[in-house]
Amino acid sequence: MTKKDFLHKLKIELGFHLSSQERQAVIEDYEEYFDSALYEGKTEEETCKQLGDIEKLAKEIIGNDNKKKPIWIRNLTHKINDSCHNVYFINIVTILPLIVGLGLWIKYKGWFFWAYLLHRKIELMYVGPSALGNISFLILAFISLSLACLIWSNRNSSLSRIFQVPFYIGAAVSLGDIGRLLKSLSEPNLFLSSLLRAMIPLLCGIIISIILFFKLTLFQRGGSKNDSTI
Amino acid sequence: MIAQFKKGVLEMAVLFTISKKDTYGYELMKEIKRYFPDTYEGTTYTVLRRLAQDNHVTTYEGKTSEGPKRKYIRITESGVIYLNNMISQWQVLRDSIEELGIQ
Repeated sequence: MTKKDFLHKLKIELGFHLSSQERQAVIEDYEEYFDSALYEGKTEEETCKQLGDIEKLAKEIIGNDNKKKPIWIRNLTHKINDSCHNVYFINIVTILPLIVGLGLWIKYKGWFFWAYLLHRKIELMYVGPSALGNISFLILAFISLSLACLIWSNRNSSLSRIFQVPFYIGAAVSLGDIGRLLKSLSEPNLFLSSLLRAMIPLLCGIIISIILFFKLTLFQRGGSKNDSTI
Repeated sequence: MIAQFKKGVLEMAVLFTISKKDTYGYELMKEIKRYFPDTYEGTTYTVLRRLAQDNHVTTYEGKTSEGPKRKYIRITESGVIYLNNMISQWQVLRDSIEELGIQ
């Protein structure tokens, strides 16, 4: 591992728990440590090993400095402080429009998401004036953009928070479908069965997310077992 | 070493090392590591940061003709008081332990 990797990973591990100033101070400390070690002729690899497991290191830093404040205040302040650096904040920023957009789009068209996508696949390929005039097309573009942002914002995340994506998609699809179902409230029997059916994408999303989560975490954490004391 | 033992002792050791001579992060880590070989660098940095938060130490940009840019650490007046207080408490503790029969 190089110095750059190390500092980057440390920054991400700290991300959620420290304000950007605090985090910057920590990073500067370790940057200096690296510089001094390199100046003495140590390699970046050796220095990383010397500093040990990043996750443990981050826990140590977070644990000792931040135990006093209740967690929700900490989270809230850091969310505001860190706006664009914070992975979680980016997630919220991108997921909300994703869900709202997808829901709106489905409600507007009154079609099930992928059924509609298949149905109008050919039409969507021609981005002519008529297609651009279509609100649903714009919303779809918006959704794709949100999804791309979401994936992009997660690209370096240590725990690969990308595992949440199927859940969000499932939730959005179900939400849109439920919105559409509200029209059929007058027929209770039909409504209930339709509601259950609308939940299927959500369930699928959750299941895929869980599988992904375990795959990613096991894959990520399986390797390092070099324990240092305290 | 038992973690609870070390948490307090390490703070004293760090502050004492700084009180002897202004130092910078890496040098301090090496010094601490010499006497407490199983100490994790992260822990020492955390202790240092807490001391800085409580204004027991301050930092200043070092002026060295050679080598990388360094942030030197200096003990403050309140740090000296805190250290002396800690040392006297440590001595009381040590005496009590000895009186108990543990050598």
